[in-house]
Amino acid sequence: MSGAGSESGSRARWKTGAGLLAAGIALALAAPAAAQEAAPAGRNPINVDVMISHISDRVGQIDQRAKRLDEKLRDEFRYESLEVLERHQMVLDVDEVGTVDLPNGHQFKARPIDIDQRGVLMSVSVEGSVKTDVRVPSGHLVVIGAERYKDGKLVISVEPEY
Amino acid sequence: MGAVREADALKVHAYHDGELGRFARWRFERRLERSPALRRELEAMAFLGDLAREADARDSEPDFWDAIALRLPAEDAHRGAEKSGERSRLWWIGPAGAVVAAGLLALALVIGSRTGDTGGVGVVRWVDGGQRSVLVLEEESTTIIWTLDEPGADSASAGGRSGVV
Repeated sequence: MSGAGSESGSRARWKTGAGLLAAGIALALAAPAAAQEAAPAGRNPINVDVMISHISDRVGQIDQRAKRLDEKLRDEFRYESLEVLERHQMVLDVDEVGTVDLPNGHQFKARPIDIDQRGVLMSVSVEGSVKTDVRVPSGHLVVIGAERYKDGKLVISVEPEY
Repeated sequence: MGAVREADALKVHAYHDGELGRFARWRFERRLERSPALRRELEAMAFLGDLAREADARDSEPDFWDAIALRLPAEDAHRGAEKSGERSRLWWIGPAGAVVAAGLLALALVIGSRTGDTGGVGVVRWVDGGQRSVLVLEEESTTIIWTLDEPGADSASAGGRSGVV
């Protein structure tokens, strides 16, 4: 009698344990998915601020509109002047291609591929110069020193916000 | 027969990456309708892209199975207990182990999903500068991708770092 009772009690405990395990796994799997669903970023368009600048060895001024860019470049590269040539605000959905015509006749393209908590995964290309895939958090500045232009170099700054 | 010429493969790449102009895109889509080989190439490329994205999404998950395995009762110890008749005294190990495993799994997954926010992984996932070398500098709030021109060009256009050129 008591042996049978102990066995059925043991079974009940195992069932409880298995139930807890299943609940734990279900909770664990559901939590990240729910967090991703809750993030509105995946559904909103992405604002991509594109600034085309020109740096040169020729003595000149540092454009105040590019102060942040200058702070980032000054310690890394040698130049005497920095001029902002164009600014573009693109609003892109995932898989939508944004294109900017560069002053040298080439094109800059950006295409958001995917977006999650770590940032927006973007395919970015400067025609004839560089292609890259970058995972960019909102507000992070990506600077591309791309094409030679006039007596210096074209610098393209890309800053997505979402 | 089913193979795609290199020029067509490049076209497929360009189409897939959205690099074709409107007219070229329309023309290529007409070719796609007629060519199963091109369609297969495009599907393969999309499949590879999905795989890459999946791998990218998984790369920050911690290896939680190792952590769980260390805390589970050892198989040999379990068998030894059965043989010596200690099963009734250690009845709690199974359910407790299951609960601990579930808890660790939940913790690892939650931590794994949160650590993704920090951007600990580099911003630049892939870069191709063609014939040119590319310099990548990553800081907390800025990433610089700098193509280096041939030596001999003046410093700003050559993109040399200060003190280098």
